[in-house]
Amino acid sequence: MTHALFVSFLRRDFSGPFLPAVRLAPERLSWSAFGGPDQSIILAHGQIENLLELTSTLRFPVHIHDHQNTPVWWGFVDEVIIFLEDVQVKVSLVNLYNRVTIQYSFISPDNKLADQLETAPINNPQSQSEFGIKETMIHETDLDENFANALRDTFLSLHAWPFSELSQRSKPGEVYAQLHCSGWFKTLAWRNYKNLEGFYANYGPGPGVFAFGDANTHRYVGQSFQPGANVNLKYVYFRLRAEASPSTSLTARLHSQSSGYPGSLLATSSAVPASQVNGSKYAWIRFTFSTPVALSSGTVYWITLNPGGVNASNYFYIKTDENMEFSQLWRHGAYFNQSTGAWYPLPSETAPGTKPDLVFRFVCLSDTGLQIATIASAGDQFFEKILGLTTGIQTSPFRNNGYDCLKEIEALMKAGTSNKRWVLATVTSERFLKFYEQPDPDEADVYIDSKSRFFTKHQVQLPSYLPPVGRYARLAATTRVSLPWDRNRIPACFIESAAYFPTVDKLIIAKHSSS
Amino acid sequence: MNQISVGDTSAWTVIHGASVAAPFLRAAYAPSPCAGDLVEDQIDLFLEGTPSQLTTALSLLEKTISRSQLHAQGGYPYFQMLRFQPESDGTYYYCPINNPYLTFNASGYKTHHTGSLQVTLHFTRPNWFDSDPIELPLTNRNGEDVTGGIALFNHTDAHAGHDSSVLIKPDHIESALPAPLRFELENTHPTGEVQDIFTGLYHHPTNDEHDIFFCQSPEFMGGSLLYSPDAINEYYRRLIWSSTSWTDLGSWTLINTHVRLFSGRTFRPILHLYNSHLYNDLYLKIKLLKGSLVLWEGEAIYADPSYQYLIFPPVRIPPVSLLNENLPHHIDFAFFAQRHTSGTHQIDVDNLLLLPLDTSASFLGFFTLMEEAVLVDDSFFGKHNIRYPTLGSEAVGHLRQGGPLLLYPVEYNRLFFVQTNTSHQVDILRTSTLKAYYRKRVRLL
Repeated sequence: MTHALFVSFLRRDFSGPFLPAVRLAPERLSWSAFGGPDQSIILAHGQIENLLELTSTLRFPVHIHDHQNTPVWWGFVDEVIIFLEDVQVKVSLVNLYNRVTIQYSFISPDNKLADQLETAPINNPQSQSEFGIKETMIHETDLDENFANALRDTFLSLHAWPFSELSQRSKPGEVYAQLHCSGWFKTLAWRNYKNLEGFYANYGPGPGVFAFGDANTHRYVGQSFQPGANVNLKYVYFRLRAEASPSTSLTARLHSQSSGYPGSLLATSSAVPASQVNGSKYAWIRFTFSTPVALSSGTVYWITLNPGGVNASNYFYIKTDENMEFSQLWRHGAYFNQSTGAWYPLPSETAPGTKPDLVFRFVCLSDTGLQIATIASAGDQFFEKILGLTTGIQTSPFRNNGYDCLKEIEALMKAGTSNKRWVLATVTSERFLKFYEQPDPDEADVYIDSKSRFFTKHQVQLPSYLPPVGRYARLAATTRVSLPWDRNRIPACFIESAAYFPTVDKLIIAKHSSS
Repeated sequence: MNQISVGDTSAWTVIHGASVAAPFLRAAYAPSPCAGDLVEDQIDLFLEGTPSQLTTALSLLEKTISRSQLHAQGGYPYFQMLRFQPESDGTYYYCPINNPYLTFNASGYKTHHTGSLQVTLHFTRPNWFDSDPIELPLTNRNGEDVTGGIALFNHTDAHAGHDSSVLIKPDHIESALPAPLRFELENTHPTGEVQDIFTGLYHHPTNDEHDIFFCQSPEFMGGSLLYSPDAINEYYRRLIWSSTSWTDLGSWTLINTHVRLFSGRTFRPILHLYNSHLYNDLYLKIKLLKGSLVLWEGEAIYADPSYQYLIFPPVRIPPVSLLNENLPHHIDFAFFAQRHTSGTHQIDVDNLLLLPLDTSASFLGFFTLMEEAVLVDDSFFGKHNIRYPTLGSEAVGHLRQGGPLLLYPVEYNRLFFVQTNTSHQVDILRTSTLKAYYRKRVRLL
């Protein structure tokens, strides 16, 4: 028993319907719990000239619905293949890029790595307005600036418009076309994501060390920084070494800035016993704010380190960076002289009069659900609305890997929620991007019988072209699986993805390729 | 063949034999040979009449086809079937037809308008034919060979009338093949409502006793035997342990004559607790032992404290096939428990049912079965519902797990029921009445 499914198109700008003069029939539809409608293949039959017109449907929105107009699958045309008698023509968005950046390394004459740079991005606005922004970052080595720019410009010129390919068919055959369509979730891969906020660090490498806690003149040390977004500070790290055997406890403290130096105390970290600080070598020591402290975008803050007392024989050294490598130019380190009651810039042996930084890492955390929504917003070009969730998992929102939004989001989805379940996503037929928590396996709400028919727990049959992807299913064909008793022996099966073949009314349940 | 018809219970069209009416003349049917459960089959229909009659007949056949397609989608309530009556006034036999379509003889487009036509109806059907339903006489300690409804209790023990199963005698099942069962279970208990119902069938050539399936607390080896008028058979076992490791709580011994009767079949052990326990970290498992030798060990189950019964993984008894030249060795059916929390732990065990899974079904209720409501399960139609006699209506109220319930001919069949209420308790004094029907099933007409 096959079901009639119908295909309709909208124009690329969603302004109205597009009515092709060909007969269309879906051949394969697939869905994923990680994005909703995933892939589809639509067959088209008609006159050659009308089939060739289908090449203009790239990035056209596609809707497939059943005889009751229930939406079944939706997305956009990603690739069109026209099969003529002996040849086939393919046009595709797969290799289209209309925003290009080259990230490259530069080698000095003595054959050592001199620098790592990124070109400015170059755009093709016409292509972008037609198809949306689709960007790529190309990673190359051993280039100079001119070479990288030339490479970038040529790449853009060759890739700014749909890619076409002519080839011979393996044997002559029927004239028809195939439209390969993708779900909207995939368009998150069209934009790269970078977030330099939420992680502030200076690894130096120096030179410089500073003793503190050895005298009132070296009572505390500190470092200023300025977040560019609203973030929540959780951890601070400094590279420390102990001199002799201090017996105090250290704490990190967050201050506002006053007259260019630490001002009011805003929060204090949990104490770290001095015994955790190594006496023979420098090591990263972590200080934790038990409750993350909210930091405001654009406000300058100081993190200071309190050694817990003064002892001329038992004190601490902290690594400083006299080269001042911290990327925030006007931020620097300082120490507090209790005798004068004032803060001073850290001294520099190599460049007296400058203001060295500390070697540090300040780590801010945010809920991964918020991060997912933020990244999705950064990659959003076609969604009407983004509906997020709170995962209860806090991680650093800092991103600078050159990855696209989809890859970043998929990683966060796999990190899951505080209930130890994945984050799932779907795109509704109204193009609402919705993130939600994977259901509880103990609450399996669909059942499959021996004829591969899905039922709700109320015994209502689901059409095979509307598979329960993203839900837990149990076998209804046997009494050998019974909740709650068999939840460990035969756990409910999570339906990660499914493919439906309308011409034979066949549904295949599969595992998602990225899980 | 006295008569062949096509259609459903709402309307039959005779296509062959007695009462056949123009333009249907006769049908030629040679069932396709097949070893599987589904047969690709066809029947040739010969029609003669006016062109108008032929057109009407073809419309009727096409309607049958479209109804079959609609039924597959849930849009028409009845199977489309072929109905056979081998002899005049004899039994009707039915086979549902799926994926039907018509083909015509090569000259059909000409003869259609000259008064004759040969068409072939192609279809897929089960590899058997079933009769009309026949009510089964049922037997337990509330009556022998009772039709019209026999009383059931929600437990089985030595007290008069306390039976949760019924026996169907070999003489009452005239069928060449295992026959589909229909049962109608009416809730006759005035208080509380039924949520889930578990059923299972056992068949055996000679065993007509139910004792082997019910293990009572006095026979349990382990713990302390305590009296209570509210317990099954008025006694239950209190099992106490204090280890955080897996602990042997005791066992029932399945004697060798009983093991032989279990015949290597599979059973779902359902342990009834006298009291619900209070632990949220209690796990139990079953081991089949021969002395200290473990013959089989089941997976541990989580003993959910909100349930007053525990269902263990299916167990085959004996766990491996024997030559059957002697009586099998007796088996100790042992229970092991574990709590990771330290302290003294206690459960009160009332009785154990070994629910047969020869064929079985679980009905997980999303509507409850109130008093006088009837759970109807028909394995011929593959459908079930709740019938509300006072309202004169029906609704699906359960998710059904399991395959069709089948009765084995020329053997004793015993049908078991376990009913739970909305508090996940097997309320042992619950009553109900049961009617059952079967359809003769034959491979060859």
